[in-house]
Amino acid sequence: MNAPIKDAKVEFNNGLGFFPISLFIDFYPTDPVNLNDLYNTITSFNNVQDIIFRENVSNNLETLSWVTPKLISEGYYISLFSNNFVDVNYNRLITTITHPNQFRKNIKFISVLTQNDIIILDFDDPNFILLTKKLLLKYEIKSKILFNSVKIPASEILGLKIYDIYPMEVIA
Amino acid sequence: MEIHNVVDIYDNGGELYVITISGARIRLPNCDYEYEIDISSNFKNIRINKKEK
Repeated sequence: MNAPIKDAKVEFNNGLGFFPISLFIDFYPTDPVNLNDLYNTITSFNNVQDIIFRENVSNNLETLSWVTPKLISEGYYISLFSNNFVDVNYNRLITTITHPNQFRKNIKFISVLTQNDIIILDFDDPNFILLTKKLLLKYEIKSKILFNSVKIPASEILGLKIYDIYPMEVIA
Repeated sequence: MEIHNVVDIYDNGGELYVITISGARIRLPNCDYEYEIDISSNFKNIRINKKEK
């Protein structure tokens, strides 16, 4: 049994995509979606070539392993949210860290992220940002770093003299 | 599922890859495939299918 797509919406992406606007695809955490339904939904949004698979990606890896080769071959830029290695074609991996301990636990995964990839620091304590920044330097992480500027105002980050992370107002 | 404008198909350690006209290097899922050559462009159009058990 296939589930419908939970949501497919064109939105500004706050720097998450290659272009300013992306088609965000969310899945239900139940059954995976149908391959052709997914492809037809994506291509029905004419002129949106930037796709971000956001919620419940892990439940749809099999489907994504089939649809992403076709999408990438047709010029789509594919990003997906994941906190683990995934056996799927993509252009960008986006991972969210909610506590510095999570960084340490997942260092094997985080350390192989590339300059194309994005790490979102979803903290409410500025000291966690400082701590994680040190870890990022220690492990020579190359990914682009964003922080949740709803939880920590950008002015606080400036006050801490951290100049190399980007604010993100809407957290996924 | 069909992939168009394929320049090259190759096997790398049991994993199948295609190179498209745009230069994208794409790993295919575990699949059977067949292809035809587009005479007008000389590129390949490939169809990938789930492996028959």
